[in-house]
Amino acid sequence: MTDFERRLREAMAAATEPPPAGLIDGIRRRHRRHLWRVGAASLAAVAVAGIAVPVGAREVSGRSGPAAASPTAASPTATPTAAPGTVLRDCQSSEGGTVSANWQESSVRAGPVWFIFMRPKNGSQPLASGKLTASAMVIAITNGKTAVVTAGPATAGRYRFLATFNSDGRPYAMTEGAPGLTLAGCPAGPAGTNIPASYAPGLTLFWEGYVTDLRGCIPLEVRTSEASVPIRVTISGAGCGSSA
Amino acid sequence: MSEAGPPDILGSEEMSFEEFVAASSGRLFTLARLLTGGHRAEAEDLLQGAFERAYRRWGRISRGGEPERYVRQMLVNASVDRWRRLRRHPESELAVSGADLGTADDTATVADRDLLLRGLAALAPRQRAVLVLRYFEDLSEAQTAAMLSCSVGTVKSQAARGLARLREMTGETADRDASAISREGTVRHD
Repeated sequence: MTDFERRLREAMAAATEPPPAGLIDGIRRRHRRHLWRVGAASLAAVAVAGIAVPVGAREVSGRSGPAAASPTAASPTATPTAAPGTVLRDCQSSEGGTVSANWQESSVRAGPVWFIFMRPKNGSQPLASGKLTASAMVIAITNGKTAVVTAGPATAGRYRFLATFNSDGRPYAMTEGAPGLTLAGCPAGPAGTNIPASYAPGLTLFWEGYVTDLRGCIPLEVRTSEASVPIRVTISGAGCGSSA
Repeated sequence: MSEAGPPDILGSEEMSFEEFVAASSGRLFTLARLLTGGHRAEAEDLLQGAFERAYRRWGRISRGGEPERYVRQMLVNASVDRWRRLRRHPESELAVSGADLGTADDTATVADRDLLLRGLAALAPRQRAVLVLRYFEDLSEAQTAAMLSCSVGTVKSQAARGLARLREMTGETADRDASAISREGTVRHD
């Protein structure tokens, strides 16, 4: 190293200064803006693609039907593991953030799980084939709870959950997804969570990607334990529209 | 030079995001300031954006054990994106004024460092980034090339040209270090 390079290195090393004050608060404010933009963009996309249909769609608690994949241990203190054939999303892979006021009105609930802003607007559009698309939605689960989400039998494996998703427009293949999703909420209470209590109290949020070639309102099943009957719900998809 | 690069300050899986920010923000802010040519507001914006992206994926990043490396890459990517948005960022003129030198301290060392940093800020963004990654982050040529998504040859030539331009702007006599630059334009490191 030359003398000039050494002096340059020393000059850079001496240029240190304390980071800006309030950095953490700034990061959180920026993150809230990001979540708001993502939510607004998702709603706008759904609204643009939405088709009004006459039959009201409501979430249904199913009492029969084929069993979904079994969830793992429900204890919030146990290390969560993915049920067979599912993608695991746990406290470590959660996204902190806020949801707008009255979000429940536009969301679908299935036991401890919320599909946020995914309530179908006014219909249950039959499933049909369409272009392969990948998108994402916000899913929340009550802290301390575990559940397994699977696409309904009617989808015939054509709706899959992605372990990671980037909204950068790159194409995703159906084979990249898994037929199910294991959700494990952060431990109940403030300890051990990455989400400040003021953001989404009591809930663990996930930004979950999926890939599908279906159009219409998507039937899903949620199970909270191995022995429980699946809770059946319908969420908005391409050509279905949301109520938000 | 090690291929591993500088170690993370903290890499523990159990580390909270707040702890990570507290431990790493000083060095990363300095990196951001050097990459932006000393613009404090731009540096704050870059750093906040990089940390926010890390926050979205904190579980996976912290499990990976090298969160600072991740944020460093985000900072560099963001600064590269900024250059692309600006398309062509002309090299700035370096205003050398005797009255400006050594304002914090009258020693020759402080004046020399001030002049070098202002010269660095006046370089073209890509040359500046190469020099910052090589001499502040202590990355090897290969690591620098990987971080900037360019070839090792490009890193070598950008470093040589950046150093030469910096010498010229700061009034340094090239003869003093001429032996360090080979005829191919590469920089030799001991």
